[in-house]
Amino acid sequence: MVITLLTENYEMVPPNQEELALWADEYQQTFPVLSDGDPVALRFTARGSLSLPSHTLIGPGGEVLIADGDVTEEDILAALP
Amino acid sequence: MWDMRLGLWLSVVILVGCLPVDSDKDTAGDSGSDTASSQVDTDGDGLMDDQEESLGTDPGVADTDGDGESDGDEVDGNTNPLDENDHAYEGGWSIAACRDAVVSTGNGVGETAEDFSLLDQFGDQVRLHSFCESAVWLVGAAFW
Repeated sequence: MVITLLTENYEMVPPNQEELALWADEYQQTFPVLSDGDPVALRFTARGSLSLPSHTLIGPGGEVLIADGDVTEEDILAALP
Repeated sequence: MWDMRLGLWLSVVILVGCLPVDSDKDTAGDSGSDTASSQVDTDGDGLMDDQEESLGTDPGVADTDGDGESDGDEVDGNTNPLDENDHAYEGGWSIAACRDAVVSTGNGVGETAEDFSLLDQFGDQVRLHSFCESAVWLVGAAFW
């Protein structure tokens, strides 16, 4: 499962549903594209700031495997149940 | 002669009166282990009436919470048939049964991530823990 967390639109505010749908169509995203105004993506970084794009890998059961780091294909394959 | 016939008739009446009642003709009788009520799905939502009673849903209404999904579909899909805001994702992503059992411990490596609920492209609120049986790759991005 890939979840895209969109933090801001062009006006620097969290995107609305229409903007999420446009993004999903443009990039052919079949998985959830979420409006992340919180942003929850920031929770997984220890730096206190968010560099985009950010990548976090969570295993089955919710265990954080990689927090705001580089996620490789091998990492993903190893995390699959 | 008439006394004998009257006695026989009374015996038959008494005997019939003592037979167990089995209104649904399932040969199990109407008390004790009779499972007739559990085999009835009055509203046709896929859940038997006794299941509905234990769940708290209405055995006479197929969609108790009125969210557009039948009670049976909600149970199969691991959503709450009593919560109109809890239903299958329009995007079609499966909701895992473990979603409410995940206990968050933190967001560092080795910890169990906190849940979140955010708006998706279909207008649903999507929870991270809905996918607790899967590996999840979170990609943070922005329009600019």
